[in-house]
Amino acid sequence: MAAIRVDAQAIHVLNWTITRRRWNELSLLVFMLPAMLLVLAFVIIPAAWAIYISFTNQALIGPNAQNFSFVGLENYTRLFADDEFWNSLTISFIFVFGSAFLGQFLIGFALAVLLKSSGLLSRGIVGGSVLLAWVIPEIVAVYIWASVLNFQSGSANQILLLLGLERQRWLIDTPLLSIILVNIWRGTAFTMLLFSAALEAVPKVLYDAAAVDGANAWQKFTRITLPLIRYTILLDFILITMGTFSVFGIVFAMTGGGPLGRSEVIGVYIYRVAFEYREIGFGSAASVVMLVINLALALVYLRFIRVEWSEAR
Amino acid sequence: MSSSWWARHSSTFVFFAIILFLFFGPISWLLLASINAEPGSAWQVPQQITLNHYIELFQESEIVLWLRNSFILGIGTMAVTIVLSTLAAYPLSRVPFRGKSVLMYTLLLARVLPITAVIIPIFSISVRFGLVNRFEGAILILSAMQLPISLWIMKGFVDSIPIELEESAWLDGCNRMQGLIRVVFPLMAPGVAVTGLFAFLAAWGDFLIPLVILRSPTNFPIAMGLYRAFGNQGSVDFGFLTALAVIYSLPSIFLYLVARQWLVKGMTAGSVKM
Repeated sequence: MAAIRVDAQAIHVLNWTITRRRWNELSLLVFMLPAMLLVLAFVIIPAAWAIYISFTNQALIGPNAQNFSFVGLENYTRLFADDEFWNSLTISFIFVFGSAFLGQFLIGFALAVLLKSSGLLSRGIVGGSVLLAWVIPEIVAVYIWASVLNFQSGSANQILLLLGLERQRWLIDTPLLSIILVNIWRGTAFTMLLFSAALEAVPKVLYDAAAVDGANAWQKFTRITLPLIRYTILLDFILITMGTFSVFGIVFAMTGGGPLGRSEVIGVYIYRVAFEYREIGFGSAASVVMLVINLALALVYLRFIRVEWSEAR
Repeated sequence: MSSSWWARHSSTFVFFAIILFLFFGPISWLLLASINAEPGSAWQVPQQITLNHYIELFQESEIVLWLRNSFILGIGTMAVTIVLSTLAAYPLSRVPFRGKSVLMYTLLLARVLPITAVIIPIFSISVRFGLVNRFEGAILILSAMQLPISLWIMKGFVDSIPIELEESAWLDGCNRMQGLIRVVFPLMAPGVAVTGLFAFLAAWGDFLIPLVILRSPTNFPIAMGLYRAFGNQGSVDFGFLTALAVIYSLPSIFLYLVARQWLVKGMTAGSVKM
């Protein structure tokens, strides 16, 4: 018993050591500062700044660039009365639904499932070409497709002619369909990769056990695979929805949002208002709407991964 | 046996064939046109193969300038991202402090923030600090966009280094900083490589930031050069543009091959424990 008797002096020394160590530890937080400052300056503050400018009549150049004034909710009332703004929201919605849900998700998922049970050769060639479309720079993808969809002699029309069909003015008559196709082409690899990894993680024993019980392939898929990867399905949906919502380069460089706004997603609308019409205040109001929509999606995302974290522990 | 195997798998093969046609077809056009003596927008097997488009590319001073600018952006962004995220990763992983989970959540939010929605204020801030048309400006912005995901990845790497390794260094007389430099930093090397690769790739392929920040033609990276070149409908030089697009793609393809085992980890950092 005497051995564990600790006198006050020792406790004092111990406390002091712990305090000093804790202080040393906290001083390490200084190393976080540069990274946090940069994110603050170019990501967080801009988001707050957009809200601030959206209540002003600031312009990109001219007298209203420096001496702008507060205009209250004027930008918002103008925005919500602007048909072009509603058009860009509708186009964005169709773009996300068509290219993320119908395209990237379904094709990427199917590819992951089918490639899992395929040989190395098809994995390498089929999976490889889907990946290739994803890894090349955005502008290269746009350049390739602008040439493929070229009216005069692009490959797409070449094939239509071979089949005895009429040539299509892809980027003029069906601009929205064109950018949806290009974005499916570009983004499918993301979903494919995500599900390939998720499918790899499903223990093989479960399938073996099901086989012993006489389950067929479809039963194995619906009873084992789907329940085990349901989080990945949700995660993929949220990530590709947010990703597609913020696509800019493909649309801007491919169609410029045209003709007549028929492929103008919200990002391109914001760019046009701010950098072509030079109305920073008004453009910021549209930015704030885009931020709010994205924040709503992001909160679903955060809520979802919080569940995921607590289950992983 | 053989026929039933075909029956079961034929639909899969048809699906694969369509996918291959749709995904590789357009890329094969690019490759073939770039070595075709008479290239066009139609898909064709070259009658005569030539490497002249590639050779002419490098005789054009503009291309060399674009390449140089893209490398400045890529390497600059890589350097800033690596240094800042390596510094921050250790305290983020090891030091408990109030508000840490809020901070990590905020970084996740920052990561999924659409850059187009904040491009106006980013431009305003760049004007205010004189960063427009300067590589420093573009590099800082690209790094800031890359940092949230980099910090998550790097924190994950430090999390996976057993604290016992550091503790034994402390017992051997190292203080915390020496332990950090001698034990932790060397083990962070793979994290540094992955973070650096991702940062380089993001900057190399980016279009929006050069479009808004690097406005003068002498500062154009390849993305802007290529965009401006094919945007000019008057002069469509297929050999030149296809060769340029291939050259521009090569570093991306190569670096993705190097980083391929980390792709999914990077995509889902913070989302799932896979």
